[in-house]
Amino acid sequence: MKYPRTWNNERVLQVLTTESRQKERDLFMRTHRPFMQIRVDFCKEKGIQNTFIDEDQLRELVQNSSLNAHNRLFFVVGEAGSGKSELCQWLEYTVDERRVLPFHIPRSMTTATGVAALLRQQSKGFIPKTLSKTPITVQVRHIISSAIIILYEDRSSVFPPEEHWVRLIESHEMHQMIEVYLQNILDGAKTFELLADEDEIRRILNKYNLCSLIEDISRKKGLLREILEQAIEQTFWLGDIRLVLDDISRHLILQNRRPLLLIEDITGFQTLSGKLLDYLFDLSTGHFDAVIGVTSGFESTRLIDSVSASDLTGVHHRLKGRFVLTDDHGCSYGLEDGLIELTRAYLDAVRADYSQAVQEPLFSAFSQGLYPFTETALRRVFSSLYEDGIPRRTPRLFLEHVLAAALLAETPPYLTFDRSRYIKAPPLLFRTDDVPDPHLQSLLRWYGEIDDDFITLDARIADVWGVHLPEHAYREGVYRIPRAYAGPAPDIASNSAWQQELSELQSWLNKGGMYPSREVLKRGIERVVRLFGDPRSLGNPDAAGGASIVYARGDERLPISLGRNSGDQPSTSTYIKLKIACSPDERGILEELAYLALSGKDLLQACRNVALTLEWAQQRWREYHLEVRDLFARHLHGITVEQFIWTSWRLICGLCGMPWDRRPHLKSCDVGNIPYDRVTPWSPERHGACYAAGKEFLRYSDVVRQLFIGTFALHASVLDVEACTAAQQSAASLDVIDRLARVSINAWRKLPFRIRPTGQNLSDLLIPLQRYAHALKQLNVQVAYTADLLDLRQKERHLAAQEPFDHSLLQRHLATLRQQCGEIGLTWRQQWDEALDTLRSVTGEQLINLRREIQRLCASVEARSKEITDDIWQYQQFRCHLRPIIDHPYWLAVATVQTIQSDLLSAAYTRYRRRGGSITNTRQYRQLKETIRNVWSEITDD
Amino acid sequence: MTEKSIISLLSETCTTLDHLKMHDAHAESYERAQERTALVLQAAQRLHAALQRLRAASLLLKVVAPDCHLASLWSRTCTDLQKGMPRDFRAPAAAIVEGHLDLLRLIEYTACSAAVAEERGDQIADHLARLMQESSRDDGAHPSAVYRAWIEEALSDLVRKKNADDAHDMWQMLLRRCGEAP
Repeated sequence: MKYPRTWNNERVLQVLTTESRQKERDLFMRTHRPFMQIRVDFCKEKGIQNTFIDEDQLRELVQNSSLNAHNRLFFVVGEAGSGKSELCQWLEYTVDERRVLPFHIPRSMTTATGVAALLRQQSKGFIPKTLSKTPITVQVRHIISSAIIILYEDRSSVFPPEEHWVRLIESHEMHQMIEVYLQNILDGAKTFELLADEDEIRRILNKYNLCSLIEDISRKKGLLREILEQAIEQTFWLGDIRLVLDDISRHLILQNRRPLLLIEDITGFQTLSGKLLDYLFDLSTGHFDAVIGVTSGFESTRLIDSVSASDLTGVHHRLKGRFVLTDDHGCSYGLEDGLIELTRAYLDAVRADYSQAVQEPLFSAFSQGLYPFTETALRRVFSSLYEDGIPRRTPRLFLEHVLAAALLAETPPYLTFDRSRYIKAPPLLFRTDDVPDPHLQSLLRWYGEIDDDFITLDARIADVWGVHLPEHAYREGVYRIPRAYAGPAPDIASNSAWQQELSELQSWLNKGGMYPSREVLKRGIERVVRLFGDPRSLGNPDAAGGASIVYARGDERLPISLGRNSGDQPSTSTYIKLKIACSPDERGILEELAYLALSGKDLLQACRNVALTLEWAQQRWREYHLEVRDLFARHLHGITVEQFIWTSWRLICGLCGMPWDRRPHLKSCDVGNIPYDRVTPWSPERHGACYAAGKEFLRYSDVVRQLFIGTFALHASVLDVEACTAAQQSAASLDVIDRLARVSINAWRKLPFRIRPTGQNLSDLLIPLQRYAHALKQLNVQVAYTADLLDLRQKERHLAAQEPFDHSLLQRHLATLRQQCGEIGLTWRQQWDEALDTLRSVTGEQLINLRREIQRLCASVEARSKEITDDIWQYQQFRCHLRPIIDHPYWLAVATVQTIQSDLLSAAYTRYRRRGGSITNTRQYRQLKETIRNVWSEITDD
Repeated sequence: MTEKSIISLLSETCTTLDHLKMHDAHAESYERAQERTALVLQAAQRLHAALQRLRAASLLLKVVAPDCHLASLWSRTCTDLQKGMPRDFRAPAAAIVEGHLDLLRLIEYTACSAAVAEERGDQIADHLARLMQESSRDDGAHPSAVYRAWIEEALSDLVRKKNADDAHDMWQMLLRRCGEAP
């Protein structure tokens, strides 16, 4: 890499100064480019507002007034570096001195002493010299006395103990320092600082034992300087600047001229600003014209604190005109249009020997003498200027951080621009894997000519700086590579900083780190990944309907985590994201996907190799989908989604009396008005837990059915046989119910699995399922079988006892039963009629058949008693076969008759509870017998 | 689930109900018998008291006026009562439980006997009061009701004492009592 120069750095430093006043008049006038666009916010004398004027017109507005007009104030407002000083300087050099006398107060002159000296110097003796006859040593004593009074009156709290500091101020050393300072000021040295030598100050403080008393010497030095400057100001102005300004105004009016104050920037004024501005804003006090530079934002903050006006409106009412140099975005008006001419002017001034600039190829390859820039590069870098994170395109930034930086650097400008913190590099509009050389990438970024399809570079530019051009893209003196990324449609482009976003992506791809607009890339990734469906959905992609389980984190958006410290949080054990590692292989694809998102184009337009991109996306889809599945299975002890749904549906079908083994059905389990206890295989007495948990779980039958259809059905009535076979085999290979029973609900609640499309949380379904599975595991199948057989045998014996079945006798007994109820006063219930009707209608043959059925079932169970295991499915099947026997209306009728009998007897026992006895055993009767014996004794006793 | 025939179960229920009803009827009968017993007892007690008083009055009369025609009232009463005594009087349980005529006869006999004994006791007591008044030295200074009350008082004491000596002492005491100033 080489960097031929046609300038020397010393000259660059002379020409490209920060302040316009740092240049000699000739150099200033040579490099000054006219301000062609100054926005007039308002100008009261001409009655114009919101229009643009040039600098000549502004000058006319300022200097064209009647001699005796009162103070006229003009604000020139602009961002720092927007040219306020340049304008003031130009006015100083070009105003008509027959009509006005300019007093140019530069930005650096912020103290009263400096301004006093300046006014005195420029007034050319018509201001009576204050204290002109008093020897300087006496002036110094006066200043020291004033400083001591200020210290005692206003600053005693800052300088404890005062006696020590008074001794310091009265010291010989301090006396000498002030005398030297005054002498310098009177001799015209504008920038000489008081108490500038810190070592000297420290020595004096040591001498007067003050170092140990203060912690922050720099701050104390500043405060001490403030006291001394205030004392000097009082001494010089004798407390009132207004008198001096009056003198200036009066004397100049006598000369048929008006004083013109050119204050570069009021922002930096210290104690003086209040007094000076008060004088100027009191319009009738004098005949000054004042052009005051104001940094944007200062007006509404500190300025209104400095003057007597109550608010900004009050300030504006006193202005004659307000001129604005920069727009709301911090860009100087008209600068872009004159950018090339401005650069040429400075480059001309920089080059001592112009003949070098016309050497080939430095002349023609670089826009006719703009070496080391081209017009393209200048405009591109100008539009990339930033300060403090916001766009700011001012002359100072351009001159200092583009021109000066590029000319002074050891490396060619494209590298300087890449490294500058004031320049935000635009994106590379070509695929970076097409141009592996970073130097060439950078050169193309700044110097490449961009058209619709290609980016081209004059090969001579690369040659000048020794950048190698690959031969395959080099033809007829031009290096040409395909343009991969074009601007989006105008409506999108106007609303998005697509280039900035592309630039951020490329920076992240290059070196990692924070990637602020990563959402753009994520949108592109999501768009292409979603072509394969939502990877969070765990349903069957071939299913035509039904519901599915989805991993609901991220809501509408896919959760994506970009690596390389992009600012994204990585996945956690429960919050999994689609991970983009940004390996070198996928770099080009990622660029394309970001471009896809921000251009609004379709995949075919944005991607060079669509098949490759789709393959990459499918791989990411698969990886993420498997992660979601793995998360699901991990929290269900290895149960897959299919096993979960398969088993749930099988359990539901069993609960509603429609069990299946290998071949599931899709019939709705909505049993309508049939009570749960008539369909469930479980008895509330013998399988209480299963019965209760099953009842709760059955409420979700429709949800489970929809999930089953969404996973195992190609249509609402057509099963996906392959999926069913696979699920049946995998579910059979592990005890799903046992695993479900062990699921930790608390851990599961943290997972965001939901059922789509209802949005129901999967844990709503899992909780009753887990309880049901737990109840099933608690059931002792062997004991349950035994109990069922006992019950069957008892039923069988009951039926045997009915034989021979005397139907007419039963009828009579039933009639008696009804009659007895009436006698006893037992309320007859309506449902008893149904039971008695059943009994009346039942025949002996029916009872025999029922008995045979029981015998057959008992025999079949007992025949395979050795094969009976704890298999809950087998037992459930058995319970379902039991259902016709249990549900036979005869049992209900018998139970009802028993209930009637029981109620009747109970009522009879209540009604006939009195008990009799033998009268001869009563006391009363014995008393009677005794009395009778006595009577007998009386009448028979002689 | 019962292993019996429903028919036999229903039959058993009917039997149980019959038993319960029977017990209830018996209990009702028992309650009524108790009420009747109380009635008979009250009448018997009245009869017994009347007989005791009549016997005491007769004993006192024998001491005071052995020849008085009223002296035979006691023995005649005993004879009358023995003659008219119903068959069930000494074992009234059956009549009380059954009720009907036997019970009516029993109650009638007892109540009538008591009334006769009381009336005859009153006749003797009145006579004794007159005798006492005549025998007294104060020559009937007290009202006749006072003598009658003294006689009743003396009869109450004599119910517990059945020999003639006691009756004699009692009469002497009555006479002394007549001699005292009213």
